[in-house]
Amino acid sequence: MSSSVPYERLIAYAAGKLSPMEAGLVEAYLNANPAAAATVSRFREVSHSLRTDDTVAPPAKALAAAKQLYRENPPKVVNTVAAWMQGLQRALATLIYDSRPQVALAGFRGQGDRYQLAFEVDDIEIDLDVESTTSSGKRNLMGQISGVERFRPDSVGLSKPGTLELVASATPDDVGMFKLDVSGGTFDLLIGVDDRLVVVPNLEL
Amino acid sequence: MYRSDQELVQACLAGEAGAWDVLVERYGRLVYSIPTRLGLGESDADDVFQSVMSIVLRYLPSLRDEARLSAWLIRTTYRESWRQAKEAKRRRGQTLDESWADSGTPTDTQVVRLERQQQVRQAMDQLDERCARLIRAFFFDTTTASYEEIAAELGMPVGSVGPTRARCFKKLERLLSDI
Repeated sequence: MSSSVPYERLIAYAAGKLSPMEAGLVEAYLNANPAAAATVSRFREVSHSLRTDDTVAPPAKALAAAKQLYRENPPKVVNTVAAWMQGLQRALATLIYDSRPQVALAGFRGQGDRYQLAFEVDDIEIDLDVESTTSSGKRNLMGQISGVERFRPDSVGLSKPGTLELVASATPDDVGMFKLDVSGGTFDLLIGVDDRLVVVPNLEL
Repeated sequence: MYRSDQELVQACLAGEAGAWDVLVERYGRLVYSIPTRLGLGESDADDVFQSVMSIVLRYLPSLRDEARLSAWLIRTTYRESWRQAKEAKRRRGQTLDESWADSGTPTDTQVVRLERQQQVRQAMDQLDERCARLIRAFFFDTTTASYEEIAAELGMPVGSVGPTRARCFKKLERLLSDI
């Protein structure tokens, strides 16, 4: 097809609304026009998203309760933190592995006293091994921070959730390994790497 | 006016309650649908929803630099759904069945699919009602509605259906590139 294909016809093609003959002509045009092919590709994606979107809206009551959370607990300005930590760019790590669901399903009693977690953010991976020591009620948190590029984290610490108030801290060794001992509870793991502060949120130890 | 997630988070931190309302509305469907899709009942899904929104509120300072808030929310909601399911079973003296083995962490494919749906929903929400209707009719109607039928439904001249729809698609394309 030598002449330009109207935008509307490209959309009709993306939606599968052209006859085989018309579609063939559009395809010939797309082969020679990468920008038009990209438009078709985007609208195929939109069509697919709209057709497969089976999400449901939360009930009005749940929505209102969630909005109320802010009024009841507005965010506070943290003023107990070292200035350098405040200035760092924050990055929240996300969980990519948790050994506990598999252990629980296998029915191994007692295995919950030790478990492994893995988190990632950007180019950094954080592997954690949590062990309870029954005699003292303490938790041993061993971890290793690794990344695509070789780097050394400046420091790690455990803080009260949502704050930068440290309850324990350590300096990782040359291969990014560290160990922290704390009483059980919920903490954020904070890792200072260059100009970033990586936050592993809501860690139950 | 559309505000990015990061702008909304900054506004929340500055004390603007309305910005929080927008965030809750924007991500309500995404968050609420995960526990329901995983099989939790309405009461448990409500608990997961509140729990995730509480976590978002608590971590607002750390989310101010988060470029992919939806991906973080998806993983957090899966995690909270798993916790809630485990807790609900424990209260009944039961344990989770095998179908929950991998439910605590979604696959990358699941995350990307849900993120993409979220982006399309956000873009569609910004379109005016007529544009949204034209686009939905185009992609959803199995039998192609005639221009006359669409024009009658939307109260517009028959001759302007095609050009209006093209303009709407272009607007949607622009919105998607901004999100």
